Amino acid sequence: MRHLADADLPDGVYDAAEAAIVRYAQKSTRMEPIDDATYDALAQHFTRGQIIDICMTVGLSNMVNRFHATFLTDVDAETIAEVEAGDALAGSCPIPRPKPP
Amino acid sequence: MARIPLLHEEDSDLPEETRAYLREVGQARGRVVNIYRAMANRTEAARAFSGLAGTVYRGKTSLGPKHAELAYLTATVTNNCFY
Repeated sequence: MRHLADADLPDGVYDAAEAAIVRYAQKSTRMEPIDDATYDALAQHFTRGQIIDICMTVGLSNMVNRFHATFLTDVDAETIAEVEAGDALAGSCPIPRPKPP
Repeated sequence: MARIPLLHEEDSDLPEETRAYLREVGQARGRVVNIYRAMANRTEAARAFSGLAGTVYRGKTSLGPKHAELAYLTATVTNNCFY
């Protein structure tokens, strides 16, 4: 999980299909051009319908991120409690948890 | 502190349509998390959001769970979202 925003994905963490999603999702989120190499990597592993689901899921996540940035939605107490319980159990979750703005 | 109210399905002052949406989300997800309580301020948009999420990302997605989550989480981590 900790490598999801890495520019260069480390070897051995993601298989080819997973790496294709991560690279595409990064570029799409940053509104960088989706070049042939990025698209072809998806097309090697996924159907046209699946690529549309990947594209719209990335878009959905971006919409949710903007929703929270706009309305400063409080993170639920139960969610915080569960994350902290998970930290105690298995060490800190690698996904960054920035403080609300 | 959210800029808009976080609505609750028990609030009898709310329109029934909004309370029904929150109950449905609670049943579908096991509990109602705050994003739905906030989106419920515009219930029709919240329903449209839930419909899209259910189709491309959750239950009816054509993707395996791992692939769907990678697409969603990569965007969230790339955007450094606090929620």
